[in-house]
Amino acid sequence: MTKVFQSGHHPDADQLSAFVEHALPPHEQAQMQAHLAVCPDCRTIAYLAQPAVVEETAADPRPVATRRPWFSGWNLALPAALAVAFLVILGIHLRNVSTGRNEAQLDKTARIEQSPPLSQTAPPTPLAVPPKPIPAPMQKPQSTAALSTDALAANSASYAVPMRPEPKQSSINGPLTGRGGIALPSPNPAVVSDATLGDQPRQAVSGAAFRPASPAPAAASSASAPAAQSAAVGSVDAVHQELRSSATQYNSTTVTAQSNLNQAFQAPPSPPPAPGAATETVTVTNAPAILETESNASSEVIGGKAIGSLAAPTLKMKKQPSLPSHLPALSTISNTGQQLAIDTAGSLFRSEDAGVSWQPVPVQWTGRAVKLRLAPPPSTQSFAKSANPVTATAAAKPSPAAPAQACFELTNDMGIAWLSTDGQTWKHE
Amino acid sequence: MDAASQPGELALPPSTAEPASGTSPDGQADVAVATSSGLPPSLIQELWLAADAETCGLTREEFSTALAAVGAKCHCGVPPEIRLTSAQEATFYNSLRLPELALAQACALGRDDAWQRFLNLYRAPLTQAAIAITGSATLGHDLADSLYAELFGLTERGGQRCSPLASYSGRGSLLGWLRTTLAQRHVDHHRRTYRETPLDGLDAAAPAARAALPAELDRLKEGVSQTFAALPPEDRFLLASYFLDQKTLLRISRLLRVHEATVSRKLKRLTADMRKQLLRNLQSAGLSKRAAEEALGADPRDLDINLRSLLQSSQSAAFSDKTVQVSPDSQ
Repeated sequence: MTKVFQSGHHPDADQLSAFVEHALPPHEQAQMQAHLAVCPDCRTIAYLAQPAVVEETAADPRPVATRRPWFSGWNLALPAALAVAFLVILGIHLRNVSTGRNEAQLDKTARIEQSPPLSQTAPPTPLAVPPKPIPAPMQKPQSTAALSTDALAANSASYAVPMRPEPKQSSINGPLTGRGGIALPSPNPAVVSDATLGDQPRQAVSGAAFRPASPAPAAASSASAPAAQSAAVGSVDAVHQELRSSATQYNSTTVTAQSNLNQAFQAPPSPPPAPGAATETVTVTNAPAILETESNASSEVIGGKAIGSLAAPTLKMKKQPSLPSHLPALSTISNTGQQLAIDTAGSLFRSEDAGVSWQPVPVQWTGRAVKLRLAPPPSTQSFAKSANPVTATAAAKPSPAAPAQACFELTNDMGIAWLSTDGQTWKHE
Repeated sequence: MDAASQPGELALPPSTAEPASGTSPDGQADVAVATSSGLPPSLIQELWLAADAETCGLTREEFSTALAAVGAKCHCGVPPEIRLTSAQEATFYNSLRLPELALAQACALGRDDAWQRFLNLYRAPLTQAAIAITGSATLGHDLADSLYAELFGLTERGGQRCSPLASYSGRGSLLGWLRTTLAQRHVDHHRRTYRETPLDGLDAAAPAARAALPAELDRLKEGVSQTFAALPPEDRFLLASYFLDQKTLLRISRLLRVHEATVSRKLKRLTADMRKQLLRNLQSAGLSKRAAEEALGADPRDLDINLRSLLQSSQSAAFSDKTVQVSPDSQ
């Protein structure tokens, strides 16, 4: 122990500074601590002798490097890139939406086309074809094609021509509802859903119906009309088979419906093959589809677009008729060498040389003609049952002259139909 | 000269107070220096060169005499009961801050070159340290100026100049020594001004007649005294710094060179150990455990215990005595 640590003495500045700087040997450090523990003045000096933190900081100012983030130089580019990305994504989204909408519309139209109008009762919509209870044996293959094309025309007329909003849905479900849900009082909604063809059954039916028709269009486009028509009739047969098989649990109601249809078809004793009765005949008898028809007989052009029901690909391949008005054909129909067409202006044209030359037909109807279809001959029972005697008389008129020919039916934008056997003179239904 | 710097001056050898006038460092002188200081000439030469003492105007003889005084004062850094070896001596001398030691010794001897160098190096830091200690720029400048006069050796003792710089041993930094000296002077100044402060506001009421304490309180007082007396110096220093001086954990940790979390843990453990020790002391004094715990819940104001006096037993009195003793000399 040094002299300064003797009793009653205090450490000098040298020892205190060495203690503060931890420069003392261990034994002197302990002695210093012992002294500081009991000496408040030396403790005060020791604490005052400590270099202040502020003093150290002021003596040794360290420049603090301000570090900028690496993306600080992209302050303007980043929002711009985000905006561009947003616009691109928005554009893609809008394009997808519009494409999806078009696809949905086309899908809906296709479904409409695939659903054959089998109703024997009056459809609820003005656009739909009025009830045609024409039982006829299936000797006219043209009528089978015309049936489906008529349904297509009736259903898709609203697609091309802006009309009242209801027709689309009613034209879709009208014939089907009349077939299964209305004519057959089935308490079970499954029957109705089967008959009215909800989305799933309808797709199944349409798939079954189109499957045999799909390979046909190529041949049909090359003017092999009978083959295409037989395929179409066969597909209609397949539709009914499918419907029948899918509703096996409701055999009784189906049988009832079939019996009703049979009664309706068998009512005329021996009528010549009527086009309009082909569908019903196929449904009932499930006959082989060897029919003679022209390929053009089942074609319809709506709004300048060829929309086929049973031979849609074929129709799309068909050439648009060049009408004298130089407007696209809204609806065309052909039967036994005669061909009729309505352009988008509502004018009716008639051709007797398979569309080579067209003659305008004077307007004999009210409103604007929007649709053509083949109707069964007016000399059927349904015509007799018609409430309108004038219509019944007019419809019965051509039957003696051309008992085997189907008549043309023209529908205006009000849903009123006119009939004609030669396409030249038209009578109100 | 105040009391705090006196022990250092006492350690200064008398020969260093006289400037070595014109002593040439030749071979004969080296032998004479080695003989007088007891250090090997080669070691002296090595240290003299390492200290760059020649630039301060310090001769080998003067430098060796200063080294010998430092070695004698500190016993070369080893406990007094251990016999010194030459290797320990060489290690001790080499561990010193030789350039600062040479500068301080040259300044103490009044060499102008050394003073010029000293002022260039330490004037600004000394002023900043004084301002930091006093907390005032005016007081800091006054304190620093008064220290300059004292360091230059204006005070004389026995017809010779006395400079506190001669007490610098070179174990710590010269700036630290200067800072500690400033703190000492500041404390001395505070004590003088405190004495001159009128005691009207501080005059406490006369203590009332001491009432007889209950037996439990007497035992508690005895137990507390024993507990504090059994504390090791380090713990006493820690308790005194934290509870009496109210120093922060940061300042205590910086003084002890430990982390402040360590200081906090030590304090917590120390108080818990003290409570346990106090309970043991009370139980050994004849109280049951429950009675001892109840005694610990007594109101401290009922106890006639001065914890400050327990921690700082007689050292403050010695400081006062020393101050009284030295005061006539300084005046």
